[in-house]
Amino acid sequence: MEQRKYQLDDKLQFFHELLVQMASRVEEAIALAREAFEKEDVKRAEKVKGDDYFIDQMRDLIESDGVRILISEAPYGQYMRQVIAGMKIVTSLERMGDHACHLAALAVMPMTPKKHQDIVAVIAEMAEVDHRMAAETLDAMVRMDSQKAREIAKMDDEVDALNAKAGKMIIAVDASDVSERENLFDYHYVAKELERFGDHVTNICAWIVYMAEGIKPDLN
Amino acid sequence: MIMPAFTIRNLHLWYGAVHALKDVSLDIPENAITACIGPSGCGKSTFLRTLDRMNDLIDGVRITGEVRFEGRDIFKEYDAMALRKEVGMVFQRPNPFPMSILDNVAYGPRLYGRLSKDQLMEIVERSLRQASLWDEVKDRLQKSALSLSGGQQQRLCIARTLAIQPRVILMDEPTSALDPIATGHIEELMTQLKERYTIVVVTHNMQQASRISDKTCFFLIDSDRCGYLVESGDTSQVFFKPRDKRTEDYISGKFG
Repeated sequence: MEQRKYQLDDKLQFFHELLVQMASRVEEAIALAREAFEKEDVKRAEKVKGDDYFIDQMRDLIESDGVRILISEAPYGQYMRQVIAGMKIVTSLERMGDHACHLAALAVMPMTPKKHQDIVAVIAEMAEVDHRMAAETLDAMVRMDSQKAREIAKMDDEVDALNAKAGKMIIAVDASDVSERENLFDYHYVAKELERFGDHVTNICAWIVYMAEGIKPDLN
Repeated sequence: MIMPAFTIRNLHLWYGAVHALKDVSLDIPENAITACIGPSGCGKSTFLRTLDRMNDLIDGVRITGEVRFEGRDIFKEYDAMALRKEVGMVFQRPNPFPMSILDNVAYGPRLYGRLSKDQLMEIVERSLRQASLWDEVKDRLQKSALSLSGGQQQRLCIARTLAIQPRVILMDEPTSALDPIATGHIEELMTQLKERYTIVVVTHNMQQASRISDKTCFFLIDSDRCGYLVESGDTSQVFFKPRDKRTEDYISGKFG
């Protein structure tokens, strides 16, 4: 069979590259947010916030590009799945960017420098696992490796366990001071967000499997 | 499980020395639309014409293998004319006879039996209604069929096929000469007709195949220019999760 280079190849290649670029931005964002949070680094926190605008823009770009491919090329089979999955993945990536942003925002807290370094350490560890998941997912996405995607999804249990641990530690604190209570409330909130981050990664992994194999597995 | 209308086993076809179709084995389900897709020259029309033995009309055609229609061998247990009464054909370009609308539809029934005027009118009206054309032409049945628009002419050809009360309707790219609106009419009609008829359609329009068919067969041509069946299956499977990479590439327009 004579195989020529077709428009669809170029368009899908471009679409895929955009997606990988967005995923790598999100991976950077969560790594940077963790550092900002741990080191109370306002500069880094500002960068995460600025980058989030870029991530939102990429989401819009990829969505409209996906729609355009579906209309103009009417792909089927794996090519169609790639576009559909890509458009679902960007929604998760965008939310992950937001979660990173919220973590970075806690670089500056009502009670700075931070009390409760033990809670901070658990949250930072959650961000660390999230980052690892995001980095691995980026790799699975580039290679459309569904087996790897399945493996990554299992890491979500670590994040869930850390979230439960952080919750217990927060509840155990007997805080009388208002700003201390505010801090604890923020910790609880951001731990929940980092837990959601892991869920989004799991969703992305399911879509990577869909892209490659045509089935949508339940990886939760 | 839908009963197969046609059972095709190891079908080969030669035009003289040219091997045009090789080793096709396939079941065509009853009361469903089966779409045959594939690039030009891949043998899908040849395959379609095998089902009503129209290839018999071409000199030097040799066929091996087995085609059974409702369990009976179409080459051994059917007379070609008798088979074509059961298996009607609609072509790519509407080809009404240069006569009135009424005579077009009445042509087949007149050929197959002596009927009273009332009986004939009943068949004409029923066929035109089934082809969703009755309301548009009931006041001008004596007008020339050539006065109809392209889409109407194609529906007239479908009515003409229905008039002989076949069990199967074969359609060879029935909408490729029509605009999207007329195409929509025909597709809607096909969906209605499959309640009562088995339909096999050859189409180059992938969206059409994915929209209207229940089952899809994908044909390709090998390096010796011989057509063969790559894969067949439920339309949703073939379009969303094809088993064969060649199918995926073809339906997404990556080669041809």
